[in-house]
Amino acid sequence: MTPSDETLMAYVDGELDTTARSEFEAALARDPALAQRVEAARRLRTTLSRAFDPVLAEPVPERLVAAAHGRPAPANVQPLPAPRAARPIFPAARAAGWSWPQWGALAASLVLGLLLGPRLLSRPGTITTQDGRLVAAGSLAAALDTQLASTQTGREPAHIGVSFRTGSGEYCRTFDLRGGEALAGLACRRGGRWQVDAVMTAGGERSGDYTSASGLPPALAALVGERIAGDALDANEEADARARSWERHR
Amino acid sequence: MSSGPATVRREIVALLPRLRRFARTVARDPHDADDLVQIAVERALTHGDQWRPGSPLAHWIFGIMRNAWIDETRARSRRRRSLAGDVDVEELRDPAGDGDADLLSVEAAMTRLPDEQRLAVGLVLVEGLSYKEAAAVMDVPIGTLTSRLARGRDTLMTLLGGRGPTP
Repeated sequence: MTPSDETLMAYVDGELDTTARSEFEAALARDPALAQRVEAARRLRTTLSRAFDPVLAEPVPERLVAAAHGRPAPANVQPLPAPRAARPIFPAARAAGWSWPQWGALAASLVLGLLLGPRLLSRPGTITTQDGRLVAAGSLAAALDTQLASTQTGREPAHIGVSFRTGSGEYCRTFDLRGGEALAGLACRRGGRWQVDAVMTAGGERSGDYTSASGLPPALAALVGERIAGDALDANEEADARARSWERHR
Repeated sequence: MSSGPATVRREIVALLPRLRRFARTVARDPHDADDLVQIAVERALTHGDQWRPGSPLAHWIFGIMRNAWIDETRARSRRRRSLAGDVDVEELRDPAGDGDADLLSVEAAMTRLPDEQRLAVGLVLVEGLSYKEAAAVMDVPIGTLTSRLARGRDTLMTLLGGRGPTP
């Protein structure tokens, strides 16, 4: 007996229970026409994913991030305030001599939030999605796991800015991905992985080495300021946190 | 305890890419789609007490988006219909080339679906919700959801059928 269209659809959508699925697969094995219809239905799912998944990697407009924070949307996109004078919450960043030479210039196009420029796709494997959330992968995950802000050489593919704890005891770290465009963000250890809570990018190429002075991009600094409980971790605290695999600390 | 306003806001920020993807399956125009996200986020924050923390926050906001979209299209239906006609023809023929032409056609095909079918397709085929979850978002019985999904899927397969290896 040929399964109904409804059953075919439920099969492709993973909605059949074990028994119904076995029966369907038995029918599938002896009916090439049915197999072709299944294939066509699957192809539609793939086509839709290919069309809409890239939206996940687009920059999130600032007005949406503002709305999510319960703030009125900015009237227009103006340069963010000039980088704040280094605040005492960022001793690790200063100690590491971390620099953001072009952040001033790119502030105009800076957007805060989950914001992955399409160009990130040319650096695959650093940030990926799991269960609809952005999580660090590859060299970024490795850097977040192991690199200490205080002992970086400046030649790592991913650079750690500042590490801190939130009010709920979570560990979070700011990072920067080099190669191509300036891209910086905040990752927090949650559920045994590094969830990327914010990524921000800028319009231009980032030049040179990471050797000159001072601070985080202002929007990222603001986010850290919102989340941080107490001071940023110093070198010893960072090493301790790493030894505990960045698991929540109370 | 974990669902205080600050937590909800943080979760919403983390959900924004997904909310934008869903909005793009619903509203053809990217600005309309972002407007829809913004309206839904604002309503979600205003009515945060109506969210039952046992259910995924994303699904609750999808439901808000669905309601907002239905309200919006009812209000603007005449204008939208006349616009959609022009745009479709133009973009279906868009010679932008390669991958882009495909994507435009997929989006154009989506706009041919009635709203409720497009929502069903977006929730199940793009967002990966189960039938039960999608029916809850759309506030309809599962049978209604599956019939809308089936009709939407048939139409899309007809419109996009020429693509890829032919059965």
